[in-house]
Amino acid sequence: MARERLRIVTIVCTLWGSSLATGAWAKESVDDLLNHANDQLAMFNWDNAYRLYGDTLAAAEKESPGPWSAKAQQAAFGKAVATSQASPSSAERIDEATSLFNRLADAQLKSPFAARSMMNLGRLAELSDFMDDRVDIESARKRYAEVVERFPSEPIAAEATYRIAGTYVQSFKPEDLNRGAEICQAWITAHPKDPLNSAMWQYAGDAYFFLKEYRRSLDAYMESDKLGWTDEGNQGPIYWRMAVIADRELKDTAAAGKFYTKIIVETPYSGKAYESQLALKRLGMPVPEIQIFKVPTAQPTTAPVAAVSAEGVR
Amino acid sequence: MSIAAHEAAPTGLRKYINATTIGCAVLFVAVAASFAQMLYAERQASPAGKKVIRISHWQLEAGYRDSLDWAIAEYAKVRPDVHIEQMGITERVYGQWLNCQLIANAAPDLAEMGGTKLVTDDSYTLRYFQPMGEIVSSHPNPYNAGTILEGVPWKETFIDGMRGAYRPQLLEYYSVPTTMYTTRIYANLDLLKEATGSDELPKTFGEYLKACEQLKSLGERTGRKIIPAASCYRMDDWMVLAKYRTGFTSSMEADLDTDLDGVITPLETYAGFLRGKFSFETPSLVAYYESMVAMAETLGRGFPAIDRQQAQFMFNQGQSAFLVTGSWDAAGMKRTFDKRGWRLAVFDNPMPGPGEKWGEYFTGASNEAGVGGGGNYGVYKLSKNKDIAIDFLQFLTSLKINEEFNAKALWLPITIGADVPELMKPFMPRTTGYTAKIDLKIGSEVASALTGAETKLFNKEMSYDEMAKTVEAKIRNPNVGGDFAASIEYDRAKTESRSQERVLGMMSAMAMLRPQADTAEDQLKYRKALMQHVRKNNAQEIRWRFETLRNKPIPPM
Repeated sequence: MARERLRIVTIVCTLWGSSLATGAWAKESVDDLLNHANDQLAMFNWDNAYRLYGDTLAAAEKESPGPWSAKAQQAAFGKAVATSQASPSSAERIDEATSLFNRLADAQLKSPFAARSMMNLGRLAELSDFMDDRVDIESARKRYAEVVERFPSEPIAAEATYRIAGTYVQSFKPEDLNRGAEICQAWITAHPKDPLNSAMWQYAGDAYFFLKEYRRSLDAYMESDKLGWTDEGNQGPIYWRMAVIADRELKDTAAAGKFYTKIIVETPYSGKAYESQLALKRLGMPVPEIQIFKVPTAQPTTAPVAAVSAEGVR
Repeated sequence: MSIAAHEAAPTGLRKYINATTIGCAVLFVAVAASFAQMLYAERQASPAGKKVIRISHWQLEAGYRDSLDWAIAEYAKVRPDVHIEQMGITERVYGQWLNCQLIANAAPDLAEMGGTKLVTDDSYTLRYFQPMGEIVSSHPNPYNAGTILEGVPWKETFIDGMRGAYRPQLLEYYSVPTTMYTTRIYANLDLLKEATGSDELPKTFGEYLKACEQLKSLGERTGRKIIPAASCYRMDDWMVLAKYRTGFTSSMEADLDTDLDGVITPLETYAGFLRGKFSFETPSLVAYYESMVAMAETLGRGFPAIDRQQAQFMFNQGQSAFLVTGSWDAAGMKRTFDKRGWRLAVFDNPMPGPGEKWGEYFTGASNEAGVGGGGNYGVYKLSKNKDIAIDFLQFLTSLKINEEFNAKALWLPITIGADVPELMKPFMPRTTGYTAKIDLKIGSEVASALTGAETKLFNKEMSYDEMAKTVEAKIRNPNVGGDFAASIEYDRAKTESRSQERVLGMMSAMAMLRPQADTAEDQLKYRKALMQHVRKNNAQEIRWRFETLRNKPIPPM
């Protein structure tokens, strides 16, 4: 009899303890789940992140029914990002992401995720994710324009403008290349302090380069150089392009000399420092030394090199 | 009744002595012994009270492990609380081995990066290795205190500024280099002197070929088996062909490099070929192949069948006076030569000089300014002692230790200011010379045909005209040639752009989901990634250039 009683007490205690533990877990689970989901997203584990955000969203909705709470919005946003980026993609995944982003972008929700959700809807339209997924540049452009219109003073407006320019440039039609460059320049004029301006100038320089409008291209790149390169450290190939444009196409000796010099001094690892030295010699300008691998070297046993003309090596 | 039934049942201890108990006893002893051995090995590997760091690599070349042992011993002097265990794994299985360790969450704290997709592929790197951008960019290496590099950010103390360790798609550093690799030609000065009467190294390609002829004559005269040169990697593109192709074809850069980035890509080569900017009859291309046939001839008939071990053997036995290989083989060569009392030298690939055959078509040597660091070690993300692993990397790449570590291994140091052993000085990267060269590997099918035809040409199984005809037919083949390569490249670039979109998607999402962790540096990185992505124009530049060239849509995959 006593043993029977003890067994009942044990079962009751176990159930009580379990319910307490479960309650505690449930209470913390939204934050914990969100944290875990974020960790998975940061590690590109899209499927895990998707599952965890889904659980978080369900838990957050249960915790606070009605319009999405702040946590539910985070979970929904994460879930939409995870499913839109997962590979392999499918129409269902993209539809689900679209639906979540649309709900977050709804003006009535006043979600802090609205602007980024709208941008992401534009990205989904611009990308082809699965067989038969059509690239819809027009819709993408419209989405980006909506971001600029609804959030004109948010930093994301610059990104949206940049993407709008991209929708034109990638067609490579002359009128679109011009339009892309103009969009960048208009933004820069209106927002002279924007951190994305150097990237915008560089992109305008690219567009004019494709158009073979070399003077405008060089001028745009020079603005980037003045502001500081966004991709600092990797400007070597652009310096080479600038120097060759100035030298070969524009016969602008001063500009050519300036950028050949920058190649030697700033980006000697690009491999073009030596050819820049030859070019400077040909242009009759001062030739800086190449300051890399400053360890004593044996003299190379190679034959002397030929001179370089503006048209290339002869 | 059976015979057994008539036997008396064993009594006492004897009743336990049967096959089952003996088997069990043997099994028990074996299990106990293996446990004891395991505990002993574990104890040896993890001395009590010490933190253990495991470092894995595939550098089994002579000298490297001893050199690393030396660095570990030196480290023990400054960190006696740490025990570092070196794990040298043969190159042939390193990739699979590291895969298993990573997947089992049991990888070494420090792993040499390479050999497996889990290390080279960005998405896996991110998962398994510790990002080190912040520490390498913002903090000086404390072990450089009192040297010229004191106070200098760690990244800037490397000769290459750690460019080789940078993962552009991830905008991060996931490894730290410890050395640098280049390739040159080793020479047996005694054999050279015996053949030519002088131990002066050839300065030009003409002198080199002449010396090789004299070496052949020596063999014929004396009845010794002498093949003038051996190559550890045959007529490898990186070690041999590209160096000469640059000199012979960099002059085409002005015509072929249409996007003016200083590089002639395979598709730009294809465009130039179709536009008639060059052909297999272009004198500089003919000269390049003629000179490479002459180079191959110095390696002897049947050189494509000679592998690295055989080539080293020929050189170490005095059967070849020259050996084409990399800086990583120096210690092994020196050890053998010292033992034999021979003199070893290293020199740069000789190039055609003025007035020599092919000299008029040759512009200059290839440039090595872009060479990145090597022997890169990454820190395992799940390591319990990441801080110590990083500390050891700082120690290993500090000025004095890196100098000594590489000097002992006879490798090139990577730390600025480190002295280079005399023998290794010719291995220092060349900062003069050219970079652009045509690239006829226009897609996988053409590349395969080209490699096969070149091998036959160099081995004199095919004439130049036949080779040219074979390769040209492949290039022009609408199904597998340049058009096909363009469509493959277009598809690849689109996929790459989509992958980069994932990086942007993650970064922009994390900036919103964890705004407190979104630093100014993260924002800068995002702008950088965004700009790189937008400038790629969803790979449409490839389509546009193809359509402009071919006047037709790019073929679908």
